[in-house]
Amino acid sequence: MNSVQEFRAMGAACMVSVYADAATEELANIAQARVELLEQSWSRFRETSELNRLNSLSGTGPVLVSADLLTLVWHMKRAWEITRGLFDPTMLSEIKAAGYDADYAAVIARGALAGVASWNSGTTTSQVRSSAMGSVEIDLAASRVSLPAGVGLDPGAIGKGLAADIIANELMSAGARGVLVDLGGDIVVAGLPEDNEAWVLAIEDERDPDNDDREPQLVRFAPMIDLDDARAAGEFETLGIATSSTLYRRWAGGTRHHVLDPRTGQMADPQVVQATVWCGAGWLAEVSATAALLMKFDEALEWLTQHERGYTLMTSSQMMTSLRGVVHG
Amino acid sequence: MNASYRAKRHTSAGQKALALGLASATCVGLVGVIAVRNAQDASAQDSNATVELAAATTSTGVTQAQLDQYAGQLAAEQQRLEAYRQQLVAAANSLATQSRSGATISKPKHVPKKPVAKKSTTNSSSSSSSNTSSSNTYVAPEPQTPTVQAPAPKQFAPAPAQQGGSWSSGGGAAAPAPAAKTRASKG
Repeated sequence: MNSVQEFRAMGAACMVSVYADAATEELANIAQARVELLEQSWSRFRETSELNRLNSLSGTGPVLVSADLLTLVWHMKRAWEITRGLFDPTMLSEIKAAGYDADYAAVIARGALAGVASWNSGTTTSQVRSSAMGSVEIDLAASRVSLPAGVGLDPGAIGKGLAADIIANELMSAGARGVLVDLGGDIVVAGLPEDNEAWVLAIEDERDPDNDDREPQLVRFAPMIDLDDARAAGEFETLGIATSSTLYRRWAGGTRHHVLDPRTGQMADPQVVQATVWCGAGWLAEVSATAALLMKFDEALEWLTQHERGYTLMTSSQMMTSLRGVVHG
Repeated sequence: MNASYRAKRHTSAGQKALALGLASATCVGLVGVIAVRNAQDASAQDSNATVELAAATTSTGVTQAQLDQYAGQLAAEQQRLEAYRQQLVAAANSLATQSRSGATISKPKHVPKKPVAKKSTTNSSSSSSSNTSSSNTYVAPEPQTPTVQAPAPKQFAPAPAQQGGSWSSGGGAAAPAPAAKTRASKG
């Protein structure tokens, strides 16, 4: 049996597809409810979110947080370490200063970002921004987080992927045989779709979205571990795939985009205009895609290969795809 | 290993998996409320136990009202997560019950070699005994008792890269229809 639930959350179109022997609709509805719970905890666009509460208490010492928020902050710090700072969730003040202080649709609607023409003016790439992430303290045992004064966390570029990880794992734990969680294009799959040997996922080329002749890259994923054994171990094989791009979410006549370079605090000017990464977890794919976008093209290829990620990298004129998991394109 | 043992092991592990997935989502909110309240109550006696209250009385600017608001927020989140947990457990039980009734026909190859007695599915502590349901039967985890210790977050680490082969590159001339399409979307 299969049930598909489509809805809007986290500022994006979302979809959950559940395969199970029964109760698929119930599980799909539950998945949507879980997205809402996570968004209420993690969103920086909801005034009453727990994350905003935590941010408002920066500089006050250890703050007790829920398990969901603790999970998010832990993964934020891990991602910051893995990407050597290229993923930096402490850029909230810079992002807000740029006018990106609300849901993207709302920002565009009010035209706030039109006023950031001076974003890069007067700034050279030699300027070095110091991240505060290293000073964020996490006490897992006590479930407490300490933020340095004036520092706020932004879950952008990790929240959707991590949420998809959580939901996919919970649905599989509940007995699903296959799950696909798509939160705004950040996708996690686990198990298998009914009567299929693999999941097949497509990569949208956003350089020329109106070109219908362009064939999409396809990524194929099939878990190797028997489902019952995975369930017994409580660990499910998953594939996370995510795309980061400067081609999307642009404003000011297309001259501005939402990707900031943590090294300078300024809008990035990358060689790579679209990075799609896939690996064993949604959050890791998402932050890896963001990091790759901020690297030089050759550097990104080397880094992704070294870290065993599957990838498709696009510049304005070329595209490079790893052989890992690609079946057609 | 006989079949009944395997079935029990799977059931137990399944429960464990569900509990792992949910434990962090169910208890900390309540823990948070209690911890905050305890810190407030104990402030006169034990300065070491008043992390939050100490913050409220220092130059950090945190007020008692903010603490109360935060405690209320954690309590509300705990209630929402508890409701979610109940939903998920109910769905898991429903799935296990329904699949148990029909899976013998659809997937006989998974029937255990040695049949074991079935128990009523209405009992949340019943153990599963047949085919796919052996790993799909879940019981409601015991209500989380608030403790000082919070569970460590489950780490969603990469798996396929290390296991190899999960991303096979088969394919042929005809591309299969994709189940979904990844795209940039940062909210």
